[in-house]
Amino acid sequence: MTTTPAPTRRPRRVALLVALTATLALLCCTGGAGAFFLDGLGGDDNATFTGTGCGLAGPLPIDGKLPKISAYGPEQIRNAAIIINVGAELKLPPRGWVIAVATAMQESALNNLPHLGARNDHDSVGLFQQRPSQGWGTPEQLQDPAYASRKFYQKLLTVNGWQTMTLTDAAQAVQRSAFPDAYAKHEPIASQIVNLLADGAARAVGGLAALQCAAIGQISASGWVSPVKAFVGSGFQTADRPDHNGVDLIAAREEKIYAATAGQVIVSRCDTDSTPPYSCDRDGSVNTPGCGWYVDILHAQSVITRYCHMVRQPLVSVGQTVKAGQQIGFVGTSGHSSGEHLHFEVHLNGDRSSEGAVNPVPFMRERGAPLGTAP
Amino acid sequence: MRRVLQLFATSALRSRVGVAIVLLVVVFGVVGVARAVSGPDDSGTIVPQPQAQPESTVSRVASDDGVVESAPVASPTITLSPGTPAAEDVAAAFASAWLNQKLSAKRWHAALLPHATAELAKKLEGVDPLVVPAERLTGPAVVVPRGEGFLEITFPVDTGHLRLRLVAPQGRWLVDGVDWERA
Repeated sequence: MTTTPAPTRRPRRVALLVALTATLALLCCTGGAGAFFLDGLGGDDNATFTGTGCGLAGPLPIDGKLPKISAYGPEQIRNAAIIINVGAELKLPPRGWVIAVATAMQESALNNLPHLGARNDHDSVGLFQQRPSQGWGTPEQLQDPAYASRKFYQKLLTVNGWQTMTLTDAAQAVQRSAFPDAYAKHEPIASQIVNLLADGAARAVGGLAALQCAAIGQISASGWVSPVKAFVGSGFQTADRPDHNGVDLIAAREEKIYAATAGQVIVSRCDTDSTPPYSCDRDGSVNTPGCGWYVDILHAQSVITRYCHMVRQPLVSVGQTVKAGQQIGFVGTSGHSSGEHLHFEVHLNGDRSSEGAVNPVPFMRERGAPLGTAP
Repeated sequence: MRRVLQLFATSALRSRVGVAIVLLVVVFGVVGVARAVSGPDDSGTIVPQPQAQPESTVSRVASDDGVVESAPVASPTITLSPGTPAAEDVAAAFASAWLNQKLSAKRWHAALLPHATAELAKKLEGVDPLVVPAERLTGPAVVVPRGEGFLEITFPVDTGHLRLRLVAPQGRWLVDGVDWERA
């Protein structure tokens, strides 16, 4: 009889221990798992977000403290600030400031260049390399950055349709240079300079009187626009779709697709067939491979944008120059697609492979052309 | 062996300290495993990881609706009209005409015309060749194919680089864009 209580007491303690351990383990595990998944959210887009303003605060005064911008020294940044302030005084919209800064970047690297002496066989001087012999002003006047900027803007305003031209075409119409393509490559940095020196004005649309952030479908002063009027249905490289190297913009069949910014078409084809009959002319499915009818466009600084699943052959051909907001095709569901949408990708460093792909949502937002928010 | 374990278990369970130690071991064990699984500790720093691919069991093929063509179009495989010059020759002829500052504006423009698209010819109208920012070529051309019937040819010049964009819309290579970059 003395041994009977022990076997009954011991199992009870063991049961208690098991229950306690199980409860604690469950708490620990779910906590750990929660932390695990929350860690995944650490790489939020916000870390690369450079600002929120759209120019409302106006340009920074030229005699104040100016921010540093990597490749340019304080004197060059002050010249950029003068160009921007003169543009604002003359009531030009920020698109004009971006064009002027990019032009001076090409002509003088934002240096107020004097006449280069005997080894110079023409008389160009100053930020915009304007020529006294061509009626721009005296050499002294043209070496005053404010005067030179004013002359640039006055000429720009005489160019018919300058606000909807590509940056390089508008600049060339003013400068009459021997290198009409050359200004395009400066558009990204010029936009960045205008953003930093004028409260994000390159992300804005409209004139000075009513500056506001560009809405979907509007071209920002930096020359970017959302490729379709739609919101993001499926995000970039999500946990569910780690190989989704773009975003899916949900839009109806036949909605217009626009070039996100100026550039040259480098691909325009059916992903799986290079010759007719094109399988891309039929609606795709989850069993169809590829991107369907698609277009790749090469932009300044070797940025590439990609537009997939068009309903029929794109409207543009390889080698063609397009401007921001130019229609390139229609929304469809060709290729690996189970419903109408535009699959949109952004690639850096001229790398067309998945290695070069970056998240289009923060990329487009920083350029004043938001794609909308993921659900 | 079994007896030793039994003895250890009963003595550990009899004392509160023993129970506490067992529970501590369990807690540290679970946390340790969770940390090992979740990889290096990066708490406190928010690092943008746009390229990071989270672990997932979702099929790679099913999730990717991007491009599948194996070799992205790289070579300018176009059919030229018979008897038309190669892209390199068109670019070289354009470059030497472009550098010829001694001509009048009118004759300089006329010399570029045979090698330029109508669009480029229009953009170069009224340009004074005195503003051409270079005098001579200083090395061989570099050809970069950009797509079918689209390439870039870059010449080193005494002041930097002359970059020509060539297209072949009608089976004939023509210069469509001129860029100059300061050295």
